[in-house]
Amino acid sequence: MSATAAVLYVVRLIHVLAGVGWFGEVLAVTAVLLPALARASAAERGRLLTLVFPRVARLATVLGGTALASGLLLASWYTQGHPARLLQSTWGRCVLAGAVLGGALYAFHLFQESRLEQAIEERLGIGVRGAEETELLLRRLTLVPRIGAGILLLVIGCMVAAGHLP
Amino acid sequence: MAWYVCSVALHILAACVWIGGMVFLALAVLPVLRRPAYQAVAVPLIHALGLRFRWIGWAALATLVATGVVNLSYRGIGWAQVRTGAAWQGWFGHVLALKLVLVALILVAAGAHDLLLGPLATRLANEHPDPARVRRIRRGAAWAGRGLLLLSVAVLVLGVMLVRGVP
Repeated sequence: MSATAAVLYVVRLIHVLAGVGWFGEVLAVTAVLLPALARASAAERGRLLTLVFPRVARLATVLGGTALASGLLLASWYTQGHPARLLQSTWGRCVLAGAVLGGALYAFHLFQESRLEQAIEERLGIGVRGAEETELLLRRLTLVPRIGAGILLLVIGCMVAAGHLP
Repeated sequence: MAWYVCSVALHILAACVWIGGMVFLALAVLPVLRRPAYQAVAVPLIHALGLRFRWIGWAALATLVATGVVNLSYRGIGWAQVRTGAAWQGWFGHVLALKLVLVALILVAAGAHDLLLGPLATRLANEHPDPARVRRIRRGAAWAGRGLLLLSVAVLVLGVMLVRGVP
């Protein structure tokens, strides 16, 4: 195996690991963390949100960024630096659809991350506000990962389908 | 072919649930809850998260095993090949054997973590009999969790090798 092929193999492994971690994290937030937080008392919910959510968002930034960067590297290698070549095959169009969806979600995540962190600090930080505001924020925090999980499901579907296409 | 692609997609989805869930708990939630300021809420919340992830995690593991068997049968490996030893021949067979050994270890470690260490740590923390013993059991449960995550990542890497070949 040549040095380039070995590097590509490692990049592919990193791409898969980061992608699996990103999607799994979003699913875990939706199916594990938020239902557990919903059962905690309002005061505990507020305190935990201020600490857990910034960490969750940072982890998603790292995993999603790694998945996208390694994916771009692989795509640019396979197309020899000509991304338009992706449009010439069913495999390429599938990969492109997944990449566009994943990229758009990541951009949305980066935009939301700063806004949500600010909102958490403002509403739940020093001088804790009322339970109503916490509930409102929690509802917003519930919606974003669900949308993310739906889009990432489509991305994984595109990538799995691409693996079995010419 | 369509069923095979569906089975592969389901296999990857279950891997995402299992590994991503553990990454999320190990890197995002548990480090926060271990802080002294959160000790009062940490035990019930870790218990609640553990219980919820237990069901989801075991469902993911069951899906992984079931779809793994289907995927292998599509690649011509069934019970007959396992019995005669043909399944373990060549680089594919060696990687497959290693992967299955690690999967068995994961099942044992997950069982020990979920059925023995986890419940024991929660029970002892609630009863407060001996803080040193509680700390020891909790540390054991935490290391079992980390071990499970490492084993799972290794299985994922071996899965990529089975599909893409050995470097």
